[in-house]
Order: sequence, then C-alpha cells, then structure tokens
Amino acid sequence: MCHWKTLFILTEGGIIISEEFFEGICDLADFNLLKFVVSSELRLRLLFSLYESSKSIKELEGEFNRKSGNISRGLNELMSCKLIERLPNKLYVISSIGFLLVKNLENLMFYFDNINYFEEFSENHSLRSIPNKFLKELSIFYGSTLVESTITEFAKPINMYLENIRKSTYICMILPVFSKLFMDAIAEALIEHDGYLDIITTKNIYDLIIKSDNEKLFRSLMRDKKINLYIVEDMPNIFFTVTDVFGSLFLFYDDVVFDNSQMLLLDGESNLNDAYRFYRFFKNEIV
Amino acid sequence: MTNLSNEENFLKFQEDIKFLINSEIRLKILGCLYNSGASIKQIEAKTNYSYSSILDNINKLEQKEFIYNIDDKFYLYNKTRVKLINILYFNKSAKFLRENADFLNRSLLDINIDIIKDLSALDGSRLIESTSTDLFKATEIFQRSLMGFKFLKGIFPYFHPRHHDIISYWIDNDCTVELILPDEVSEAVKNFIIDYVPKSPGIKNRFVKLKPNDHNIQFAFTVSDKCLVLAFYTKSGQFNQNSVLVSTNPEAITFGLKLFEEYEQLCGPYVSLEDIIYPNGRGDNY
Repeated sequence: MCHWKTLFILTEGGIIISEEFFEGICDLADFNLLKFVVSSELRLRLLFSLYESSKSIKELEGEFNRKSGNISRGLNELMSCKLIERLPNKLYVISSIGFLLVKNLENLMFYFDNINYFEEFSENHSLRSIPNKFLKELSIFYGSTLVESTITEFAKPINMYLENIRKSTYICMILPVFSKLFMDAIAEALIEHDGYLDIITTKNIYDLIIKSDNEKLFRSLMRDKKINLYIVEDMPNIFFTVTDVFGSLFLFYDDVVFDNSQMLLLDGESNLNDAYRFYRFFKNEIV
Repeated sequence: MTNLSNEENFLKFQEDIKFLINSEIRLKILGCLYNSGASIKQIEAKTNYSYSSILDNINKLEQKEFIYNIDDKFYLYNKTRVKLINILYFNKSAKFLRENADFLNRSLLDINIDIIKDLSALDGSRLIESTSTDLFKATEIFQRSLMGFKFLKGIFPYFHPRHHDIISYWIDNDCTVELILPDEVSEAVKNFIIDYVPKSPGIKNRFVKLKPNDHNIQFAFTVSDKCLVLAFYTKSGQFNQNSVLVSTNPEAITFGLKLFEEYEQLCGPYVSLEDIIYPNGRGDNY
C-alpha cells in the first residue's frame, strides 16, 4: 500500500523551476524525493542506519529511543518510496535504490560540509564563466590547500607553482592566460624530465606562446609529440594544472582580471587522479 | 561511517536543504539570480509573485547569507551557487533512481566504487526490456553497442551468440577495444580471432586488449563513443539478459569511461592481441 504523499513523490514529478533559470541543467525534476528524505530527521536517520546494516524494528527502537509507532511510520514511509524493504524474517534492509540514494546523499552532504574550505577562495573570484558541469567537478579541490600571497612573500602562489611545475613530467593544463614565466618553467620541465604537455588554450594565447622566445623549442616539442595542443575558441576563466607532482587552480577576479595572489594546491595520488580525470572530462567536453 | 556521525554538520545540512527547497518562491528567486543580479522589481516581472512576498523571502535569504545586495540589486554568493548546483545534480540522480526503481531493486548492486556517489549523468537513460513479442530486444541492444564505434570499453560475462559479426567488426575496422572478461570468454575471443584473421578481407584494427575479470565483477556494461549500455545480475545471481539501461548522453559516456577506469585499476594487467591480429607485423596498416 502506498501512502498518498509518497505516491505523489514517485509518480507526479512536477517542475517547479523552469529550466531557463539554471543554464545547462535541463529536465529539472521536482525536489520531492530530497524533501521527503531530508524533511524528517527520523526518516533520514533510519535510512542511514539501515544503510549500515539490516535491523529489526526492536533494534531500531533501541537505537533511536523512539516509540515503536514513530519508528513503524518512518519505516512504512521509506518502504512506500521503495528505499527499504522488509525481509521475510522481519528484518528491515536497504533496497538497491535506497543504497544508491544514500551514496548520493552522502556525497551531497560532503559538498555542503566542505564548501567552507572553498568559500573564501570562491567568494573572491568570478565563477560566472564556468559552466555548471565544470563548476560541479571543481569539488576535487575541496581537499586542497589555499596558498596566498603574504606581505613578506608576495609571489608565494606563483613561486610554489613554478617550483612544482619544474619537478613535473606529465603536465596537463587549461590555460586562459599567458606568462613567459610559466612557459619557461614548463619548457624547462619538459626538457629536463623528457616530459609531456597536454594543453588546452585559445588562439590568442597560442599566438603569444609562439611569438615568445621559446618558439623554436615549442615547435620542435610539438613535432616530437611532446606537446599536444588543443585550441578552442572560447574557454572558462580557469587556469588549471595537473601533473604527476601537483594540481592547482587559479581563478579570475572578474571576467578579465587574473588573480595570481591565491592558488588552490592539490597533492596526493588519489587527488591527482581525480584532477587528471577532471582534465580529461574538460577536454572531452570542450575540444 | 556516514556524515551523520557529525551531528552539527548534519543539522546544518538539513537546515540548509530544507530552507532552500521547501519554498517554491525562494527557489524561483534563486533561479532568477542564478545568471545575474536582479532587483525586486525585475524578480517580480520574471516570477509574477507579489512585491511583498518577494521582499519577505529576499529578506530571509539575505539573513541566512545565501544572497547579498549592492545598490538595490541582489546577487547569489558563490557558495550558494555551488550548493544549488549540487542540489540540482542530486535531483538528477534522484530522478534516475525514481524512474528505474523497480528494475534497480530487482538487480544485484554489490557495487562499491567511488563513481556511484553521483549518478546524475544517468538521468535520461532508457530502460529497454525484452517483451513477449521481442524476446531478444535487450540482447540486440547489447550487441549493437559492441559494433559501430571508434573505441569500445567494457565488462561482460558471456561470449555473445552473434560473436562472428561482432569480433569481425573489431578486426576489420579502425577501432580500439579494451575489455574486462572472464578467462573462458577471453580464450574464446582469442580463438575466434586466430581463425578469422587469415579470412579477413582487410584488417584495420588499432588494438584489442583484454583484462581478466579477476575481481569477480558481477555487473556488465559497454561504453563507446556512441553510447553507454548497462546490464545487471538479478538478486538471485543470474545475469539478466532481458533488460539494459541505455544512454547516448555525452555525460553518460563520460560516466562510463570513469566507471571503466575504476574497474580497470582493480583487475590484472592487459593482454594485447596485437601478435594474433597482425601475425606478420602491422606493415602498411600501421
């Protein structure tokens, strides 16, 4: 039997925001399932508890110290939504979609919890040029370190960037800015470590690279397939780098002014794998 | 352990979500401000809500630091933008789960890899099921996913009944194939290629690489430049040949590539079939 409210959640849908408001996200469905799970603390806690292990109603009563009527009602509501099931031995168990929903909810909670790490950095910069699909993936930087200019070390982010890039061998970059300093350090790394550079940039930046002192070197590295270059007409304002040593992100103050005073810095194998994955995703989408 | 262990974070999460999504008018205001700042008058014109209701909700949003105002125009904080994006993508995951609830609840989902924490890319997938008048509908979809691509990656547990068409396509076309297969299926593929190569009209294959399914992955999928096809075992442990989830969305293809990458790392090394496909070297075909 289906409770009328949960039946609505499963069948009615109902778009309450038209997609035009949120560029890039189409077919915006209702928020009812999220509302249903989150609006009751007990329901949410029951769902997470059964995600940990299957339990009897007695065990759940003990765990939550609530009346059996309340626990039963919560369980019935979750069952109506097919998020949990009752086994013949009367144990309650999470269903496949309940399991997947909890995984996705945990992820959402992780983003909400960790947004604060990103807050200072993100509020100082413009995110307007970054499409939603890329902005969402920038959550890979939630575990990063914020490196900032200080009064005693004004160029700290840039120095740290250059120091890391010189140690790198496999470099991938999304490059919306040109700096001879960066290009010299990259060239040095490619020669020193017999490295590779995969780079996405605009025609303007490419022209500046080619016109710089390193023209011959870059052309020969491209001939030797040490540099793979992808030119795009337009790109979001993110200066992103991932190498076998570090990952980094610089943003713009607004649509035109690059900020070299703050950098998010990533390290660790797992974070760098995520960053390489972001780069591949970005490349697939934009090139 | 889940995030619920952190009581303070949990309560803040619950409060934020409830506040953001429990009111249609608030959501519409946030939607109006998503792409650019707007005054109350501009929001009124876009939403048709009364000035006073907009003002009331704008005040609440401002008090809770979701928006700020400069010169009578209101703007989203970037943290609000990022929170909204994550809620909206979560809803795509929820929509996928809701629409395929019965199928997924019948399926064995003993999958504990990182990528399932965000299923938004699967929103818009179609569930294709065999019917009494089209018994092999799902198998045929799976078969079609194994041909007509530039690259193919995937995991599947059986030697397809139409393997002649499939493997000859791999050999005769300019494509790459990377698969995770049980040992018996790998052997069958190799033996077929050994027999087929001398009869092939013109080999163009770039490479076929196989990995053993030594992690006992009970789940099947293919991902190519064209589509993602997912198939599952039933809870009783049988491979369900009668239903597949299919998506041609670029986001789903990216999801499939990430999925393959995760499983690729779990299984043993690749075996290249280069020597079998090109017994005399690549020659002019290289």
